[in-house]
Amino acid sequence: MLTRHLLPDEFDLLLDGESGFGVQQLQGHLRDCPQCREELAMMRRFVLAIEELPELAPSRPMADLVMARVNVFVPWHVAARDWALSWLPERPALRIAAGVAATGVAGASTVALGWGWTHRERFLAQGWLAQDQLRAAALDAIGTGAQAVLGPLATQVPGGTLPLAGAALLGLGLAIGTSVAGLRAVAARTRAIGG
Amino acid sequence: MSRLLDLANLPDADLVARALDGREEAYRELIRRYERPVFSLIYRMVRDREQAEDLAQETFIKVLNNIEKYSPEFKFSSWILKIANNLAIDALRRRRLDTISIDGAANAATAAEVEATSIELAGGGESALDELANRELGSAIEQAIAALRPMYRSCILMRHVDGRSYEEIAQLLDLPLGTVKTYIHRARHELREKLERLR
Repeated sequence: MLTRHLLPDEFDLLLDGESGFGVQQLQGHLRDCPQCREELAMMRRFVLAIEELPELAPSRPMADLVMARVNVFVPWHVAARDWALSWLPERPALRIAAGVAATGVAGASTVALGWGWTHRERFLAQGWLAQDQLRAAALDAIGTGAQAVLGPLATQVPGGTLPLAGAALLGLGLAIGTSVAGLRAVAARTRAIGG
Repeated sequence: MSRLLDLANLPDADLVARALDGREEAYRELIRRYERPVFSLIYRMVRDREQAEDLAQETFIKVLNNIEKYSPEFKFSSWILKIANNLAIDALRRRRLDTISIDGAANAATAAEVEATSIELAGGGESALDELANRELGSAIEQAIAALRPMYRSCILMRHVDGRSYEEIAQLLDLPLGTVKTYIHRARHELREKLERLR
C-alpha cells in the first residue's frame, strides 16, 4: 500500500492503460486517495481533449495539384493486359456472347486442324501437283514471251533453253528499269537538297 | 462511380499495389485518404496554413514518386506521416522568424538550432487569461501544442491525435523507445502547465 501521492511517471502509466507489474498497487492507492483520483481524472479529461482535436482540411483537394507532378509509370505487362481487356465488351450479356463466340471459333479451328492433320498426305500430294502445274505454266508463258521478243532469232536458240533465255531477258529488263528509277530518285533528292 | 467506391474500401497495401501497376485512380485514392491526416500533422507543426499546404503537397509528391520503395511490412500511414513529419521539422529548422517562444528542439545542440526550431505563437498582445476567455478549450490546446518543442509536438500529436503506440512513434521518428516515452511525458507535463496557467 502506497503511503505517498502518485508520481508523474505513475500517472503516465495509468493514463496509457498499462497493466504490468506495480500498476495494481497504484490503482489500490487511487481507491483510497481522492486527491490523486481527482488529479488522474483531470489528466484524462485533458488527454481526451487532445484526442478530440478535429482533423484539419487543406483549403482545396490536393489530388490534381499533386498528380500534375507525379510520374505514373505503367509497366509493359500491365499495358499489354489492358490492351487485351479493352477488346472485351462492357455489358455482361455481350461478354457472355463474345465468350460463346470465341469458344465456338476455337472449337471449329481445332476440329479443322485435326481434320487437316489426318488428311495431310492428300493435301501434300495436291500441293506438289499444283506446284508442278504452276511452274510448267510459268515456263510456257516466259517461252512464248521470249519467242515474241526474239522473233526469227528464237529458232537459233537450242530447244528447251528458250524459257531460260526469256527469264534472263526479263531479269535484265527489271535490273535496267530499277537502276534507272533509282538514279532518277537520287538526282531528284540531290536537286531538292541543293535547292 | 462504383469503381471509386471499391477503391475507398481497399486496404492501403492493395492501393499501393494498384499504384505500382500504374493506376492513377489508386494514387488519387491514397491522396484523398491521407490529405487530412498529413495536412493536420504538418499544420500543427508549422502553424502556417500556406506553408502546411505546400509541405503536404511535397509530402505526397515525394511519396508517390517513390512508391516502389514502399516496404509492405510497414504501415503506409506510418511511412507517409514519417515523411510529412521530417519535412515539417526541416521547414522549422529553416525558419528564421522572430519568435516569442524560448523553446527549441529537444535535440537542439546550439543556440542557432534552438532559435531555428522554435515556433511563433499567434499572440495579438492579449494576455493569457484574455486568450482563454476568448477561445475554447480545443483552441487553447492547439496553442499550447504549438508552443512545444518540435520533437515533443511530433510525439504528442502522433500519440494522442493519431493514436499511435510508443513503438510506432519510435520507429516513425527514428528515436529510441525510452526517448519517445520521455518526450511524451514531458510534453504532457508542459501542456498541463501551460493550460493550468491559462485557467
